[in-house]
Amino acid sequence: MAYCVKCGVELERNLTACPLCNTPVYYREEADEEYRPYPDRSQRIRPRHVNLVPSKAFVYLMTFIIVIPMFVCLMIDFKSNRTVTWSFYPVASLLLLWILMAYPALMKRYSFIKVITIDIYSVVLFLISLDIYSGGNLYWSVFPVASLLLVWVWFLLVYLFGKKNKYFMFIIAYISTGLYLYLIEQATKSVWFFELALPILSLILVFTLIALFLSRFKPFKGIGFPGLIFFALSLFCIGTEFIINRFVFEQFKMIWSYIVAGVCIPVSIFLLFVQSNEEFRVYLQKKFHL
Amino acid sequence: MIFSNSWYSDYDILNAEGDVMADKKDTSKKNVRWYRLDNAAIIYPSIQSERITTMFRFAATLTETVDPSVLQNALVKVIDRFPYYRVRLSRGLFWYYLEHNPKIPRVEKDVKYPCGRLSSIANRGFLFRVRYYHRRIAVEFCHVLTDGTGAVTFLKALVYQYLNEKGKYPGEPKGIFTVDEEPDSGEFEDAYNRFYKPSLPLPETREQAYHLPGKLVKKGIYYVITGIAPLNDILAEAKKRNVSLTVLLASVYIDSMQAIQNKYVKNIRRKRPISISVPVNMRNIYPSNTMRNFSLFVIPGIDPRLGEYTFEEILKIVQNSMISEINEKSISRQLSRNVGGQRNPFVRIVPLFIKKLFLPFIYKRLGENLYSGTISNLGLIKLPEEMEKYIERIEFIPAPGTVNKTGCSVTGFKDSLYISFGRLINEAELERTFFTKLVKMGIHIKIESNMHEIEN
Repeated sequence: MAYCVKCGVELERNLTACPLCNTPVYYREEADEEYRPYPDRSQRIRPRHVNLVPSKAFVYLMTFIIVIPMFVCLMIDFKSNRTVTWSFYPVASLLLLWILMAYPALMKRYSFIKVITIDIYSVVLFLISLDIYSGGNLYWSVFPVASLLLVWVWFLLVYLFGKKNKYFMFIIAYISTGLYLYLIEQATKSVWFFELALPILSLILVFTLIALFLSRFKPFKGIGFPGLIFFALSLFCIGTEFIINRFVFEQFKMIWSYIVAGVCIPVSIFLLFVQSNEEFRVYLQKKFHL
Repeated sequence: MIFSNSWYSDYDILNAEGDVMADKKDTSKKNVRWYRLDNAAIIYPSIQSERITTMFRFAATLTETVDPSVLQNALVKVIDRFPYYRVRLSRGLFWYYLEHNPKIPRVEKDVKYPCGRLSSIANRGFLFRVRYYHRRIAVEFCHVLTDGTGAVTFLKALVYQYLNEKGKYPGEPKGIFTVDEEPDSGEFEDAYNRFYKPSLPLPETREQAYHLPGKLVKKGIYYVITGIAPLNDILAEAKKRNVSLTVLLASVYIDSMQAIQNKYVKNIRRKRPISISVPVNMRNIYPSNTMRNFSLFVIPGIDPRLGEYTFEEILKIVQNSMISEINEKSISRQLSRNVGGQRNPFVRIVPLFIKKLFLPFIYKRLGENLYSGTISNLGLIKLPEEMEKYIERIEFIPAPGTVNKTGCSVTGFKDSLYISFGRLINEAELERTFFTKLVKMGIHIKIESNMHEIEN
């Protein structure tokens, strides 16, 4: 039996020090690993679970709440106009609200991408129906619809290739964004796609791919990665200014991009230096740790 | 009329009872069952955090290694005897509520730091968990579900069923819930509301008490120290002084806190009162057999600004305040204030997310700030003789708290007394003072802890 020399209490045989006063135990008995009072494993700390999807019962409740204003609108509209006129807008909006809320709850298995898909498509339908109802054919809705579809494509790309093949993801994102911009150009009957949008977009793609490729190597990991991004950013600014000035003034003169580069390039060189020089990095960590 | 007095009628209880009957016919009806939180429980979901887990633990150490699969079988059977624990916490517009949880609870391996926060995913939504380690079965309950009495009843039933499944004969189930009986409707009730008397005077207000100094340890850590004392020695010590065991331990606790305050606070005007919250099992005062929360606390204490108290003086003060406060009349004032607050129409109509902002503040103001520590004595736990043979010890670990930082709970089983301290700070100063005082009285103390090595 081991006793704490300071507290006078008997200590359980596996203890190496008195839990009360931290005095080490001398002449300890042999530990009995078979029965220590507590195991060594700790409880895993888990993030709090937030369930965004409403229950079915909640959907039923909301359905009734939504149906009432819909009926009121329709009745008032019918009473004065004998047909559906303005009430189309509130009714369509309420229907959209219902779909956005109820869809994930009524689906047996849902995932983020499924919910996003149905949400975007129902908003697209809503916008198209508003446009057709008010004007008789597609007019302004083309722009928000195309933008929403582009956003959806981006989500889908991240979902499909985000982990597996980032290069492929960026290339498809490039193509789809290019197509989107081309469509906008055609729809607005202006000329800027091949001269302006496509070169800038290509520039972004090239720099993204290069940065992605370089980030595999050690000098560009850790704090070196922001350095890489700053470097790419300043080059991109120079390139963009070149493209814009050629398009607008039809000549090349540097106006602002060299200032950006003047700030970003030293910063990026500093960061890359920090990454490559361990002694310097440790020095900074020591002096500035929070 | 929704705020009429009959609002808190027995409707929920009858409803629950009715569904128990309905279960027999139609199992799909189970989802309809739900319960309001009882008066003590309403505060806990809002104050829960990584540190204030509101979990406390009862553990029974058997004579043989626990077989997890047998324990799992026992748990599956026992949980249906306790339908009010087979629940998950949900959010209404105005209050939280408990609803039937269709999932099946799972036993899990024990961990180093007990009473950790519940995770609704890992724990399948249940508000309690069953853990095993070598020869020990531990149940950890969230205070939303029940108090110590409910948890120990559950543990007894679980161990009884476990021994049965193992093919042992644990004796006649005297006072132990068995799987083949139906739950009594009284077990479901919110007894606070049943014994509520309107328009009683408010309890006397108190000053903020002294709290232990010290920085909180990292989240997820909870140090436990258990002192084991021979029951007869410590009872003799109490008898010698003509007080009960609870009074003796509470006095030692206050005395230790006084010593600590004297060490850290030299200026007498800076000193604060030292009070200890002693939970009272209200089932002994009111005729109720509820298995949900039904306890309140009394707060005996001293004011060190008046000078230093000797141990004998503290004993007398604690003894007297226990006598004057633990009776139906005195305690009904506290009950009346708590339930009155819950029934107030202006409180009820406030949406839950706004209530959640105020409840932690109320909890601090009317709860933890008023006392310097808690000593919860569950008393001697009695089991049928045949069952006692298979069980070595039963211990009780308090829920962690960030204001008092250290809590204490006491159980007696067979011929030992288990005094467990749980703390959220590094220094075990209170524990050291407390146990050395007992040692000086001539009581042999054996110490166990979940700190195996010196940790700095």
